Amino acid sequence: MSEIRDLTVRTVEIQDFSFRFQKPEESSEAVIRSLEEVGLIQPIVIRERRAETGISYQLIDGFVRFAFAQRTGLSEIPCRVLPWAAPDEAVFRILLQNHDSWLQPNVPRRIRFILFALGAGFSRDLVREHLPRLGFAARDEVLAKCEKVGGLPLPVFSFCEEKNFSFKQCFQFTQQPVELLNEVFAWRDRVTLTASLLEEFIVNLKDYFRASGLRIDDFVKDKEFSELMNSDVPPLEKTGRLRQLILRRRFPILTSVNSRLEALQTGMGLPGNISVEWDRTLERREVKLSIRVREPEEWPKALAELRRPEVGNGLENILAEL
Amino acid sequence: MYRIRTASICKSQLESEQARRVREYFGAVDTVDEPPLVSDYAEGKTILHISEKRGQALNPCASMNEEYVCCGVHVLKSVSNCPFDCSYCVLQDYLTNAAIQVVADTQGMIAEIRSRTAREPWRFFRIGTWVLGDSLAFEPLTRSASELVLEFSKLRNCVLELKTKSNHVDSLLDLPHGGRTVLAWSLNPEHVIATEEHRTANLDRRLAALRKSVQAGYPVALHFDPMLVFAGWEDAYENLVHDVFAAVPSERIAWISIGSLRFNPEMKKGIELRFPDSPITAAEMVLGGDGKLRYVKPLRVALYSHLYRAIRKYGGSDPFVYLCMERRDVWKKVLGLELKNIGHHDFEITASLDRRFPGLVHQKPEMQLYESLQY
Repeated sequence: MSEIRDLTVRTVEIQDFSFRFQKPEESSEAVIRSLEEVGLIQPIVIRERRAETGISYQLIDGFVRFAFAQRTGLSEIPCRVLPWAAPDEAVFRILLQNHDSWLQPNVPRRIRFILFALGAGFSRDLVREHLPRLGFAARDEVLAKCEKVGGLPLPVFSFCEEKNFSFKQCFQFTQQPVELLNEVFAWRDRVTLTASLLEEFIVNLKDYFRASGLRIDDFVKDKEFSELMNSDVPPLEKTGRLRQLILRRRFPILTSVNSRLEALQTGMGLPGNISVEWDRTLERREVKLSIRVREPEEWPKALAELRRPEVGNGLENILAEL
Repeated sequence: MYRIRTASICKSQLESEQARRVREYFGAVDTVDEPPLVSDYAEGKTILHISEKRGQALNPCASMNEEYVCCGVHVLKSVSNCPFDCSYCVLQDYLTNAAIQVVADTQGMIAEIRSRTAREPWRFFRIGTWVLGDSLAFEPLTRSASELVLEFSKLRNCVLELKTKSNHVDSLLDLPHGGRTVLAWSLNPEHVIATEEHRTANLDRRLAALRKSVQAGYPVALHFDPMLVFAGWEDAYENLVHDVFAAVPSERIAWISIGSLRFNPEMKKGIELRFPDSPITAAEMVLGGDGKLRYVKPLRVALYSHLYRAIRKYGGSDPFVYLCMERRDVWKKVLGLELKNIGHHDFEITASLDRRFPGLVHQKPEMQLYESLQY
């Protein structure tokens, strides 16, 4: 690293862009604004390669500045030049440092950087050693998991990045069928999807399909589903209804028994200030009665309600079902 | 027969019968101070270690839970992991060291049992060796169960239960067991055995072994656990019960347990990864109060009731039937029994054994004592 030099280099001599780390355009907007206001002051970082055919340069840091120079017709650009023998680790550190502020707040971005580094030719050992800088444990299995996450369909990965999902949340999508992932993600403009809701939808649908032998194509043709998704119901309410629909399909026995229990509850004819609750998973055999009283005279009325034979019979029937 | 890649023997067990037989079977075998530590469950099934007894080997069943009633059995950790590979096996999520370990220190285990059973001389202990593995899977190789059968024939207030999905009983048939060992089979329809209970003996072989055991004078036990839901489960389980009672007279059956699929939620993904073709995790399940996923209660009640009716139809009213790890309200719905607590359950089994197998239980069981047991 002692041979680092500051030079002005002709832009046409910089032709190797293998260290270009693609980021969304908006992340460069501030840099571009600054360049437009004050011009190009800070040198870009390049690595010099000497061959019999001449000298060429590999761009390491300063892709936005380089693009600005090209766009504004600059034929030369200030550069900090590393020798070709500069160790990969040094180059990797420069890249990491350069992108650090963009990477740190977002796990999928860090995964994206790891995949970029592997793709750019850095050794797995080197990338693994630097995983702690990116918030991960320095283990091969973490690298392998990052590669799996990187293999997610692009809309899914982008959504994970947009929502800043955790590593665990991103990874669990890799264990789901791709066609199911693609379909559920395609609903995101109509329903409100969070990481936990996404996981719930996908896991329940997957299990429903495995249990029933149906496929996602069958589900989207389901009349109830298509009517709901094409309705004008606001997204949040639509999400809740979709969740209920999926749960009904996934848990047909629970749905059917709870419907019977609700009918029994209705048959008890209780006023609004008395409620009957039971464990909707049907595991615990118990009924909870709640009475809301705001005025003293409501109490004897509530007791009279509870003494009605319909209420006793209803409770007996609910307990028998449980 | 076994897929063992490497075998080792603990230095302190070099003189054991198990060590001698393992050396004979594998030739050169490593001698080590500590068991090999294996984190990968599948890899563990290829590594056999003849072990010393480490710490307490006898414990109450690990499934004790107030909501889901246990039968009060004690478990002897004489084997850990097993060569079979059932898709639903809880060991996938339980073992911290997946290497197969067979404890060769039979005398050490028996001394612990003597000491424990002596502390409650009025009590009759059922002691099973199946909690961390199959009781007989390695019997042709190690003869560990044979040693236990001989030792239990000399004990007073306990009975040994060897539970298996194998047919490895030949070495036990001529032993002077004194009726103090119950040979038990985990049973499921052939469809379940073929699709979920990998590398185990098929139903015909299990039933043939059951027949031989009865002929050799052993009391036997049946465990229809875990029952699974699949297309045609009703006929499959009824046929299974029919075939079992055609093979074994009900008066030789010490007890019958019924249970259904259950596992920790963390295991779900593991099962799906290891057995992607298995549909068992797609069933309609809920999280129980004991932290385990199990079929929704109406389905469990339907499964158990169907099986229980078949047992009474083909096996009569004699064999003692209980539910494994079930709620009291399910007991009442299926068996018509109001169970007070685990001690009550323990008492009912013991009283049934006392009535049906004269001489097995050392003294008449007293309900009050059993019900006062703290679990």
